[in-house]
Amino acid sequence: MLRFLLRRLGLALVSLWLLSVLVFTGTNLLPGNVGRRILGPFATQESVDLLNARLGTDRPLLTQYFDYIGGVLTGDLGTSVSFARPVTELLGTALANSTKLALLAFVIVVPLSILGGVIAALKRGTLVDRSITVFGLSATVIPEFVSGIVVIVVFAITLGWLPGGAQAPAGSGLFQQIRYLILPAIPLVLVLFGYIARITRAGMIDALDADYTRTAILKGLPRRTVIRRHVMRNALLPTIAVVATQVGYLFGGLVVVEVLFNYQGVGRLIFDAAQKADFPLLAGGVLVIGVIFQVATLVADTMYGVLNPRVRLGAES
Amino acid sequence: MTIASVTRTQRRNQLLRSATFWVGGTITLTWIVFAIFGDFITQYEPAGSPTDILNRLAPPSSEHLMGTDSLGRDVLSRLLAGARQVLIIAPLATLIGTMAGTALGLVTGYFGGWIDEVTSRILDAFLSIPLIITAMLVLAAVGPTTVGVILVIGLVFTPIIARTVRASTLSEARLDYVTAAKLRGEGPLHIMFIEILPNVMGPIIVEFTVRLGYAIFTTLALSFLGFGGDPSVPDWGQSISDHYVFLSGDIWWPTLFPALAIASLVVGVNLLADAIAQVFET
Repeated sequence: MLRFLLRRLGLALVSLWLLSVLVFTGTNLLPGNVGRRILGPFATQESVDLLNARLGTDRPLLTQYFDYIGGVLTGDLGTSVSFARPVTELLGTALANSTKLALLAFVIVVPLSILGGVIAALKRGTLVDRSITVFGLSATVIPEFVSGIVVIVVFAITLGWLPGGAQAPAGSGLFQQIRYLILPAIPLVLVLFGYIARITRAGMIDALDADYTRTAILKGLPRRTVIRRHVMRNALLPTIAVVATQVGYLFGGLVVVEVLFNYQGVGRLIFDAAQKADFPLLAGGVLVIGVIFQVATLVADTMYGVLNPRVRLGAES
Repeated sequence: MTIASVTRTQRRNQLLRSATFWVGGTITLTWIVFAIFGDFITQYEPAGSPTDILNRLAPPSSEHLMGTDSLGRDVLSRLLAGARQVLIIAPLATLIGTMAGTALGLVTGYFGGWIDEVTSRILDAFLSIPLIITAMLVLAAVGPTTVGVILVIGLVFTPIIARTVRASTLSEARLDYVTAAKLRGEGPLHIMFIEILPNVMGPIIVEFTVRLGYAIFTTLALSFLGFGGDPSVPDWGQSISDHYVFLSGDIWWPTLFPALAIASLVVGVNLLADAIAQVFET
């Protein structure tokens, strides 16, 4: 178990290092040098050169990379070009906001989608199953800005139940903040619902068809006991791993949702950075999302190990 | 059951019996027809004309079936032209990603060893960032153009498809027909592309249709965010981002119609993909 985790941690660190190389190359090697991208096609060559000198983007790439990675390792992600503030400071505030929104979406979607998947599997082949599956598939594939607009029109404009923006006034209490975040969370919930429900349903069906389930039924155990103790326990394990991998997707969804609902999170920050060609901020944002993704998968693997006696008790597979 | 044990006819019959296939196929085909013959359906120029501005934000009428937008352009004409835009970008991007991913997957799966190890690590790093953010990063660096959007989506799909093809190739490479080809003295290129490729087509077709759905999703999200390429080309995502601020003033037509178009196209394509995946996976 420990060896498995150490290996996973090592791989995660290698992936993050490679990601830093990819991000650095992506923002530096692609055609159009940094100063030109920031100032646009009409700026004079002199001012472009001046900006490049000020940003240090006129030095050899390898020097720049070592400078950059040294900064990353000491917790310094550079200074944002467009906000003229340290990248870490900007990302910190934004990350807190995004976490609130993501957490709310997860709290809503995880029980809902697992319930949906379990019901669909238990009613396999019926109209209920088909409805959940087709609804889930459609909800997953409709872009967040489309479903987001629908909820704004229905709940904020027509019914007037909830605010159409996500940013609660400064100093609002927890409940007030949640009230503002419900509408932005819905598009994220919809996209995740179909996916998690689908995996849950598949896991449930595998477990329902397994020999140990038939044995349990033939032993005369009540259906409820069989489902709770034999089917669900085995079926929900893969679901946990899947939920964690969706943390990565979630940040992609956050970009669109935070822009649509005008919410100051990481997604919005990355969007602003990309629009203004603010490469230090962009690179920092991407790196932070990479770290979150790696941590989430690591946590999922650990949880999977802890919950699964076959891994926990050290059976080598 | 393995893919090889189901014949092509069985698979086709199963597909033709599936309701999902017919519904998804009909919706998708309708949009393809609209995209091709859009110009014959409406008499207005999608890009608009100089006098349009006098008739801005007109509600749907017999003149303009879906009303006009904030610059007075006919919403229906722009909707049909937008279908052309997304139906060119998404399939091309998916095709590029599928071809590059297939080649990469065959090479890494067949040779294994350090080539496989190194590429796997790089691909893992790549995949820990959501598609839309990678796309924005690259487009911010090269500048948003239609060709850029196609290439970046293709680029991001490459590792995802490579991973599937690699897994299938790994199990194929152990089979007798590959050993036989090696003993015959065939070179690696012949074995990968002539011997193994036809046997891993099933997963590749499934990947292609599933990715096509994602490509449409991503193309539209990018254009909503203003990274969709040439802003003068009519585009559903852009129409929505330009007009959703008018919703609170009860001007719903320039936003609602593109939104419905997007919803129907993505659901159609994904139902089709789902039906195809089901046929190959049973």
